[in-house]
Amino acid sequence: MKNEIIAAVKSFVSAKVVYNETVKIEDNTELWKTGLIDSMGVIRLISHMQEVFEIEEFDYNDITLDNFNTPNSIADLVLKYKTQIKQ
Amino acid sequence: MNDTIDFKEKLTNFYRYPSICLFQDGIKKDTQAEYMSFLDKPRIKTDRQQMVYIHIPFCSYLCNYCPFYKVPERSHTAMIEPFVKALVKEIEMYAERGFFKGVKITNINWGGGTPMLLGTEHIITILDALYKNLDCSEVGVVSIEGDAFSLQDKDKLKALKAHGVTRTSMGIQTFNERLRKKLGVLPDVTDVYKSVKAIERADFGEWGCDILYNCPDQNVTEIRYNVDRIAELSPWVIDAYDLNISPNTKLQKMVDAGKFNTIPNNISEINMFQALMEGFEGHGYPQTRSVNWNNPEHMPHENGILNVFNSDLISFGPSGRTFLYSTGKNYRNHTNLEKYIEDINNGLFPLEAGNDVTQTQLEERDIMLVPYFLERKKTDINYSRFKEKIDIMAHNDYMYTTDDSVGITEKGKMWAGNIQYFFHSDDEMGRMAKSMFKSIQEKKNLFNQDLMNV
Repeated sequence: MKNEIIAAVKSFVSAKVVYNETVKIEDNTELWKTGLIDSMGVIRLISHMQEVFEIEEFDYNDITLDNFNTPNSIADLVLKYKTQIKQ
Repeated sequence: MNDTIDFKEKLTNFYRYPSICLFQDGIKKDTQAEYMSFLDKPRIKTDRQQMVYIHIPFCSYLCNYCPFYKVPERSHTAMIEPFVKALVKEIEMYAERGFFKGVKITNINWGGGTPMLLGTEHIITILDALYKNLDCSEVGVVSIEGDAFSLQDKDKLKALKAHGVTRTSMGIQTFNERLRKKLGVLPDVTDVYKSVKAIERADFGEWGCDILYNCPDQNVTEIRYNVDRIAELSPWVIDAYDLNISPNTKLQKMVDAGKFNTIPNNISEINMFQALMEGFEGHGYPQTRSVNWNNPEHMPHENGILNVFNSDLISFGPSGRTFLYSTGKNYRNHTNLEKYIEDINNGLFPLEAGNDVTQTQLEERDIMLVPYFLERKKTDINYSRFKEKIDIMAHNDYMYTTDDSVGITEKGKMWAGNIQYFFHSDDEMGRMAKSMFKSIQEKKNLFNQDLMNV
């Protein structure tokens, strides 16, 4: 599941945020700090993740740079919500 | 160096840093006295200029792209008189405290809304309150904004000029009549020409104009046409702003409803800005700031409004944003006319939100000014702190350094907002994302977290 989420993040960021599908994004690429994505891009990514992974809404307190900095950290956050739903 | 950065999506320039967010920085009535206690001490000696901004929230029509706080004049006529009284009282409340004693104001800038919509007597009442309560003996520029309806009154312009107003600016936006109507800009192009004629007949001298790019249904051909028409009018300065279609807004709903034939994208925005740069340069207007071009005979002057982001700025009126380098205060007034008047009538400063800016954040603000001013001296910034990031930008041909200066390259002029964002702190990036997220969640406008055009 985590790999699937990471792939979804990479795909969305390259195609819909930086508009360059050849851009190399690793699991731990710092999306914000490298300027690949800005605050509005994060909001678009959040909206996409909510839709694709059927998360009703992220909590405001979870919108942090640490949670959304890399595909890996985003996947951890999405997984946290998926686990909460199952429980 | 392996840090390859290739900006793809052009970001809007940042004029404010750090941001103010109602959800994160709200100021409650019981804490405002402590927050404003800086006013009891004299302003520290500083080379920064002290500018004043007056926000007049009334508009005779509401453009559907504008995020700034305003109210329809027609339904708020009865509030104009109480508003002017409140604004005068707000000026007096500041002047009574020690902060402004002996401080020379260098520039007074009126924005809105449509300040020129106010009656001459009301504008003069507010100017007199400024002249009486603050030291305006060395004010270099008094600038007032208007639209293509409100600037047609030559006699009003003459009266304001006689009362110290030195400059005016007009929101032209576009010469495309159909697009003007779709964006809710009611005056037509004929009104633009009538206003320019009135400004000339009033012998106003200095005037500037705003235009928009990145609008739906806009293309490079139209941008070139707009540039040519503006160059014919010979304004002293041109501000070009990118239109953003924000979530929740009326404009977004119009786009979703198919009211426009074409929607801007990252490629078209780049092409339009390129056309602006080439067009104005072609007409002999050098680019003087990231979004400004000046008539070569009238380059930016020391206390012109183009220096506002580098200065201490105190703002009066609803939604007015104050930024004081000298004390690290960063706050804004209520984005609500009724609350604004009520607080002042109760003897309170009409604050809505604000924060205290640390020295570290002031340094970050100063580095934001490099792309805005196109070039700064190394001594104007904490060069050693930002050297690593400047080197990355230089490696990617967005910035350059000389022995004593740092600037943005020709390539960097396209990406001024992106370069600014690159220098944002992690904390500020997180705060901005939180603010946007909450604004969207609460169906508020992203700019002031209010209901403008939502």
